[in-house]
Amino acid sequence: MERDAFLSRLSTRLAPGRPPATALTIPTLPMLDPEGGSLIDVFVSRAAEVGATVHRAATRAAAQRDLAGLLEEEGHCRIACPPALRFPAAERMWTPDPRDASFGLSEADWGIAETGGVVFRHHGAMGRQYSLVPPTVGILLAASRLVPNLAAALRLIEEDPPPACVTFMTGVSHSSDIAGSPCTGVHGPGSVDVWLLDDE
Amino acid sequence: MTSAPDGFETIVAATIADKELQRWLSDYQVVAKDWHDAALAELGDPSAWRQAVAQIRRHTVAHLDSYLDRFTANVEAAGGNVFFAATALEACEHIAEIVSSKGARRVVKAKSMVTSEIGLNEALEGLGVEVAETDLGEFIIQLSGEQPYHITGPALHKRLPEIRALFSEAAGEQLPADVDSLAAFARRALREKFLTADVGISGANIGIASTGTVVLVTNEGNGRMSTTLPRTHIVVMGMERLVPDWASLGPVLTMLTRAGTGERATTYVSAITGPRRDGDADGPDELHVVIVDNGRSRLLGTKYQDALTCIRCGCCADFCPVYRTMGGHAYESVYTGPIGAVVTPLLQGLDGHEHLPFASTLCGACEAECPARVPLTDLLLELRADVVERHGSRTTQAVAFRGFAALGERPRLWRMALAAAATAWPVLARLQHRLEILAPWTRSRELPTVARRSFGRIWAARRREHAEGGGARGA
Amino acid sequence: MITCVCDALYPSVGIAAEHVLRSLGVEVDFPARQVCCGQAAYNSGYRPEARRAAKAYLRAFRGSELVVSVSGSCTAMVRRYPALFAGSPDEAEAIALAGRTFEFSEFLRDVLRVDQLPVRYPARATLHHSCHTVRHLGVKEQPERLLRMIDGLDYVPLPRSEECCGFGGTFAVAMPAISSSLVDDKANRVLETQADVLVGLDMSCLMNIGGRLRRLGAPTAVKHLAELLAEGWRS
Repeated sequence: MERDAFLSRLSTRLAPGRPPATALTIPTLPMLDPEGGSLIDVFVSRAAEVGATVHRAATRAAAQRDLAGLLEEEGHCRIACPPALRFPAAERMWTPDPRDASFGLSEADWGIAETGGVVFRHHGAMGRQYSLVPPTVGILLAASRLVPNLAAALRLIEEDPPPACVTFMTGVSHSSDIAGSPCTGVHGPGSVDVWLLDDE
Repeated sequence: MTSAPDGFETIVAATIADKELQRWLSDYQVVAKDWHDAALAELGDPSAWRQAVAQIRRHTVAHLDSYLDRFTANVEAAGGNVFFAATALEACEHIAEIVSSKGARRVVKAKSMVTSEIGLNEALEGLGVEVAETDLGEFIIQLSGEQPYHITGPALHKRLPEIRALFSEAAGEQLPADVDSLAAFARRALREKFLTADVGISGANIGIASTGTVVLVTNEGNGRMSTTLPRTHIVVMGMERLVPDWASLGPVLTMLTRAGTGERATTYVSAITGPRRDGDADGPDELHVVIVDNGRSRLLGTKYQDALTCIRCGCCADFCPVYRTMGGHAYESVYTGPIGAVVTPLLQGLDGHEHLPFASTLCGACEAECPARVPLTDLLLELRADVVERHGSRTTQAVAFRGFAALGERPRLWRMALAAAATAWPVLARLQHRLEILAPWTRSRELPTVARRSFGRIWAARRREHAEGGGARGA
Repeated sequence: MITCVCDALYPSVGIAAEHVLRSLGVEVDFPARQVCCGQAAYNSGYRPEARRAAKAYLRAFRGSELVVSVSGSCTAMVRRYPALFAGSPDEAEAIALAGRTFEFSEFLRDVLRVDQLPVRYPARATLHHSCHTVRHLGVKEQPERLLRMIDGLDYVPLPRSEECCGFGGTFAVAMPAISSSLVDDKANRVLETQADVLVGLDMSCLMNIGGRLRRLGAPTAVKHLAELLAEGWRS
C-alpha cells in the first residue's frame, strides 16, 4: 500500500477524540546510580554475574600484556581486531577476518554498571563481527567511560546521530531453550573478558 | 459461552492428561515467577516503571500516524527502504520479491512473531527458498513442525529426549544426551547457515521514531548474526511497535527483559539505523523495513486500542493458570497466553476464535504483572460482550441470564425460586451424579447444598420474632 | 450484602457476619430487595442483563448508610458500577454506592480499625486469597491480620496462594477440564498445609475448593472468615 494511504488510514481512525500531540515527558524513575569507585565495583560484580570476567589494567599497554598472556595460555592462534587495536605481542596471530579467528578484540564506547554490559558504536573500522563471531572475545574499556545505568548510556548515545549499528552486549551468549537448561556460546561468544583501563 | 471448537477441546484434554507436561509447565511458572519478581524488585518501585512504560506506549499508539511517519522517513534518510504492507499477503509478496531479486536460495531468520503471523516461511519455502530459523527455540519447532508454545519460549514444552531426537535426526547421527552437546550441534549447524545466507530476516522488538532505528534483542546472538553477515537485511515490523525516542527506549527495554525473562538485560541489543555506511567494516549493504498492518489499524480509535501497547514480553503467560493447564498450542495461534486470547480474535476476527476470550478465569494475574499495563481483564470482558452480541438473544444462555436478571428485579420471585430449589434439593442431591447438565461440576466436585432456608427467609423470620417478642431492635 | 450465592447456599455466612458486626457495635440491617450484583452476567458478556441486576441493587441499598459484603468479588463488581452506568442517569447513584460498599475484612480493618478480637479458635487454619479480592479489590493483608488476632489459631499460609482456584464463575462449567485441574491443584495444596479449616472471603471460591475437598474425602472444614470469627467469639 502507498505510504500516504497507509498513514492516512491511521489518522482517520485516531484523530477523533484523541489528546493533542504533545511531546512525551517520562517521569524520573528510581534507578541504580552508584558513584566513582563503587561504579567500578558494581560493574565488575554484575559483569561476573552474566559470565564476563573483568580485569583491571593500569594502562592500555598493561592490558595488552595481560591479553597476550591469556592468548598464549588458552592456545589461541588467530586474533581478529580493528587495525587501531593491533599490538606487537599479538601481531603474529593477527588476522583481518573475524570468521577465521578464535579470539576477537574490540573496544567499547561505554560500560553500564547496572547491567555489567558494554556499548559499541559500530562505524568505520570498528566492525560488529569482532565481538560476535569468534567464540572468545576481549573488550577494552576505559574506566572513565563507565556510566551508572542504561538511561545514562542512552542519553550519551542520543547526543550524536546514531551509526548504522549500536550494540549493547551484556555477558556471554546463552540460552535456556533446550529443555529449560542453560547453555552458553550458542551463536555468540561463550567467553567474554573485559579489560578496564584505569588511566583512560 | 459458545462451545469451543473440537480442535481446542482435543488439545486441552491432551495437555491435561499429560501429567509430565503438567508438572513441567507448573515448575516452569514457579521458576519464571522467581526470576521475574527478583528482577523487578531490584528496580525499587516496579509499579512506577510499569506506569512509565504504559504511558510511553499509550502515547505512541495514540499518535501512531505521526510516529510511524517519522520513523519511516528516518529509516529512508539513513539509507533504508520502507514498504507499507496493509495485509499479510502484501508483506509476503514484497519480501518474496526482494528475496527473488537477490537470487537468494537461503535466508536466515532471527525470531520474529510477526513473520509467523503472516506466514512468511511458507511463502518463501513455496518459492524454493530455504528458510533457516536461528533462534534455538524456533529452530527446535521448525524441526518438529509445530507452532510456538510461548511468546519468548517457542519450544517451552519440549523436553530433553524429544530435542535430542530432533537434533539427532537433523544431524544424521545419534547425538549425546547432554545440553552442551546439543547446543554445540545447533551452533555448528546454524553457523554454516549464517555464513552462507544471502538474506537475513528479523523482526523488530522496538522501533525508535526519532532516528528510524530498529532495536532487536536476543540472548543467543542470532539476532546480531542474521543482521550482520548476510548482504541484505529485511526487518518485518508490526506497525505499532514504536517508541518516540532513545530516552523512552530505556524503560521499555528494561521492563521487556526484567518482566519477560527476569534478566537485567538480554545479552545482545542491536540498534540498527539503515544499512552499513561507506567505510563501515561490516553490516548489510541493504536494509528493508516492512511495516505490517494485518488488522492492527482496525483497533485504533476503538475500545481495543490499548491491546496494541503490548511489548511482547510474554510474562502474562508465565503467570496464567489457564495457560499452564491447557498449554500454548490451545491458543491455535502464534500468539499465546492472555495477550494471545485478546489479539488473535482481534486481528483475525471472531470466527473460529470466539472461545478464546472465555479461556480465562479473569483472575487478573496477567494484568497485575504486565509491564505495559495492558488492561487484559477489561479487553477480555469487552470481547466476551462482543461475542454475546453476535449470538443474539435467543440462545439458551441468553434466556437464562435474562431470566436471572428478571429475578434480580423481582425479590419476591427470587424468594419463591429459592424456596422451590430448597424443596427440590433432596431429590436433586440424590440424582446429582446422573444429571448430565450438572456433569461439568460433578465430574470433579461435590455440589454445594441448597440451604433449607435462604438467608432472606431466616432474617425475615428473626425480625418477626423480635417484633413479636417486643424486644430490642433486630440489630 | 448477602450475595445471591450466600442467600441460596450459605446463609450461615450472613448470620455469622451479622453477629460479628453487631458485636463490634455496628447496627446491621438487611435490605430485603437485594438479589444479585450482576457479576455473573457481566463476566459472561451479558451487559444489559448485568445492568438490570445492578440497577436493582442500586435501589435495594438506597437507604443504607454503608454496605458490607460477604464477598470480595461482589464488592469488586459494585466498584465497577460507576463504569457500568457511566453516562446514564444512574451514574451518580452508582458512584455513591461504590464508594460506600466494603468487603467484610476490609470493613473490619480499614473502617472499624479492629486491632484485637475476642475470638478463640484453637485449630490450624489456612487462607484462600481470592483473585478478585486481591487483585481487583486490593484486599490481601486484612484477612491475614484478622486471623493473627485469633487466640489459639495456628495460621499457615497456603503455598502458591496467588494462583487462581479455577472457579471463574461460568468458567467452572464452560471449561470444566481446566477448572477441575486447577481446583485439584488448589485442594492438594490445602491438604499439604494439614490445616483443620480452610478460610476465605468468597464463598464462590470456597464452594469450588470445598467441593473438590469433599470429593477427595478430605475432612478439612471450609468456612468464611465471618463464620470462623462468629463461632469463636467470646461473649
